[in-house]
Amino acid sequence: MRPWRPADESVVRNIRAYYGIKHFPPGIMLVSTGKRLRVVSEEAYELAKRLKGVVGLGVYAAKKFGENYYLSIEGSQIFGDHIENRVIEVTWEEAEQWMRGAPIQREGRSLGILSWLGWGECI
Amino acid sequence: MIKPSEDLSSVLAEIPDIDAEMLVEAAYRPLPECVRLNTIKVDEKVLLELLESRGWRLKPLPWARHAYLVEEAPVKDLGATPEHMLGLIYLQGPVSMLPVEILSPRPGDLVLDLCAAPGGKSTQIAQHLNMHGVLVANDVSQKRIKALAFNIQRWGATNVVITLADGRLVHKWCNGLFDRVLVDAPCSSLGIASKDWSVFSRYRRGVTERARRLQLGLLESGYRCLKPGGVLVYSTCTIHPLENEWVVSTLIERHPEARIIRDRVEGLRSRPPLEEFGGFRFSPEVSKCFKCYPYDNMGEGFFVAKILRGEA
Repeated sequence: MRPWRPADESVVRNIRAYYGIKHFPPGIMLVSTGKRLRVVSEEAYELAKRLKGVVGLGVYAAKKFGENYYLSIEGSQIFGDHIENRVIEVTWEEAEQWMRGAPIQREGRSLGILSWLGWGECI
Repeated sequence: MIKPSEDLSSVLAEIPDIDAEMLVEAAYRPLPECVRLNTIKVDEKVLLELLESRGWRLKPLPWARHAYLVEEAPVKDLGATPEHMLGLIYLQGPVSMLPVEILSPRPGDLVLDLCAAPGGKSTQIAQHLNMHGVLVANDVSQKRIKALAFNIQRWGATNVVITLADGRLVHKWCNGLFDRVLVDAPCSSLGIASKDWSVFSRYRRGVTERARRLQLGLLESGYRCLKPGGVLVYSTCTIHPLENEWVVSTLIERHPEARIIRDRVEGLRSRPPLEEFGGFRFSPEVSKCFKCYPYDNMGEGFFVAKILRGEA
């Protein structure tokens, strides 16, 4: 198994504070792989320890930029209902626009979690 | 123009219950477009309403949960839709959803998908587990495992472990570990020629000879990974009896405690497996397997065996 280890308590605290996550969804944990964090069920993590050739575990959920962790699409979906800070609600049309590479327009420049789309910037 | 190779023509002449003309004709028809809705991410009813409001018209497939035939869609290329990119839907052939339905994993199960890439069936298993239990998705190919990892990521299943190993060896560290095992074995793919016509023209007898030895090795390994009382599904998308009936029959001969379970499949036409072929007489247990040719359902040709591991 690759050197995946449970994320440090300080990292978990940082993410919870930054995004205003009071509780993680039950039964999951954050696993650190260098600058990336993955979300994995506790049961899957335990089973992986006894397997050979493990190359993937759970879902890539966040990446470190500077002092903070920016959520991936799936990260924002997994934590979606639990996130209270930095959420920018987007409509389906805006989501489509975003996925085509076009910016989302908002008054003032803002950075945050685009609901369902992960970390992003509105201009 | 589809032209079966000489080897394939002679094989088709040997298979007693096949209509070669209808098989070639079926290969000209594109497979119906089907999607499976991701109930891990969104409630099925909510997702259906969203899709309908965006111009999708869907009809449920009777033999697979959360699966729909696409009767109308807002765009032609379904893979380029935001619904697909956000992992809300998975595009999958209609009959290829059957093996996992027959495997029927339950929340809490430990499940092994021995030949998992590119991951369609793995995402389906993860969906049935509903985040309870663990899926180990294994494949031997470094290249194909990238597609598997991408699809698992898009599906958002946190209870999946991906391993890279030769499936024939996995039993060495997973003996008796799993409640359910899927062996969707590599094969000559003669049941999905409508996806790639060249499987007909490229076919040589040696393909089946190599495939059936590999398939038996994979099935044997997968069977050993099962707990006593566990269930394994062996499936292929080919029509060749030596890659289907022969493989399952050989396993049954080696493991007299193994039993085939007959499953009712709603909405799909099937046909009885062969009792003998190429000088081999198959175990009577094989008659309980599911088998269909591409022209039986206007879909893929598939062979599916549900095997129960008894106490040795």
